[in-house]
Amino acid sequence: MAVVKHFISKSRKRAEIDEFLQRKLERAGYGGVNISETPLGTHIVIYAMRPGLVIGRSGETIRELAKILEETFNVSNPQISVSEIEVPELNPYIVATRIASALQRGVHFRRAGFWALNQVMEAGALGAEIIISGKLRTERARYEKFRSGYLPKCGDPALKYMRKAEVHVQLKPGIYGIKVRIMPPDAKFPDKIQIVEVPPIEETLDETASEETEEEVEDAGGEEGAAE
Amino acid sequence: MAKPIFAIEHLEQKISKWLLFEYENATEIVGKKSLLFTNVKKESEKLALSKLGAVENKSVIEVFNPEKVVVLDPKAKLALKPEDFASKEAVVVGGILGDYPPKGRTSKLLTKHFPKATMRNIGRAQFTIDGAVYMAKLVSEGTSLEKIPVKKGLSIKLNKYMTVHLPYAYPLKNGKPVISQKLIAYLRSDKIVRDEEKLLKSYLISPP
Repeated sequence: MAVVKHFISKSRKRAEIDEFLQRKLERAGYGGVNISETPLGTHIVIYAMRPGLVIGRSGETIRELAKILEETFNVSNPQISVSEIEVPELNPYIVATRIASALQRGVHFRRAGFWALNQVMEAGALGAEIIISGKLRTERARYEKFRSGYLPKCGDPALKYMRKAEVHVQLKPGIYGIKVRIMPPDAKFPDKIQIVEVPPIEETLDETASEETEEEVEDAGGEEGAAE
Repeated sequence: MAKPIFAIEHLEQKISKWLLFEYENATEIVGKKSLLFTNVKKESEKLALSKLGAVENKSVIEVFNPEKVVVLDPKAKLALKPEDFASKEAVVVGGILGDYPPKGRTSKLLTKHFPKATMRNIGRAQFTIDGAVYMAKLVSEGTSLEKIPVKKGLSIKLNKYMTVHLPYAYPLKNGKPVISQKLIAYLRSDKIVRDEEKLLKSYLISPP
């Protein structure tokens, strides 16, 4: 039971850090965090659209972040590095945050969801799904689901490659939830086999084979000569 | 067993198109003569609902003797049975457009004020107003609750990419969920987008 508790508390801490960074680095285009423990400390990689804003003037913000992570979240010796997101459209956090800010500006969720789905698919994703849920005061709560391309939800490729994020946005009529799932273009599927073309090696084989026989003949001749 | 009155206690602040479609479908299910809308305060609302059934500006608590009423509430401990309708005048359904997960507004706004009434559930899941009226009608006619097929959650495909999912319980009639066809058409149309956009922008300008 202690082992279970240990892993649950670790996952909880991870989720709390993620939530905290999401709030703190909203303007920097926060796109997720990768936490790995090493013998020397905890290595934290923050993905952001604008790494400059995460680092701050002469590393001011990053030092402040490290202090908060160490003191509030009990992260031992945090080593923070920032990585720039190359294609923001393939990052689910960024997509969800963009939808959230569109909703805050009064754009209808059906328009915002469809626009975001188009952007993700145009960026080259294999598949994407966006779910926006919420309730307007005069209507029933409902989910609107936008889906395109190939997006398996279970199995090894889903666990290994699927990127997902969930963002909540507080609007005046109520709270809205945005879930984004993206299957990146570099995902590999075991059922999709690529046949590698065999290079034409027959000619070279023949050539080497004929060269070898010639050499053998020469060698044999030499040996015979030497014997004589 | 006399046919009971199906009372809908109007508990929403405004009659939206969605609510009106559910009310209209309830009228289609039980007929105009058997349907009563209570707690309708505004004159404009009274006028709109008078086309669908009888309208009362008083709350259902003041209209009926509490002992002769069955109130449907998902939080009630006992399930609705045909015997519950014996010597009852009316069955009350909350006129609420629910949240998901449910907030238990029927209990807060209706059953809490009606302690002497018979409280019954029609299942733990949240039903739509017209769906609840349909269930109550079948049970009042003698069908047991377990025999009525129910579908939990309904997905309506709008086009190749979009689906609307309604996380409520829907009774099935001839294998099809009991839902207003006008509501489905409304969900599929652009009208809903325009209406909601107007509403969202009104919140941005002046919060109600």
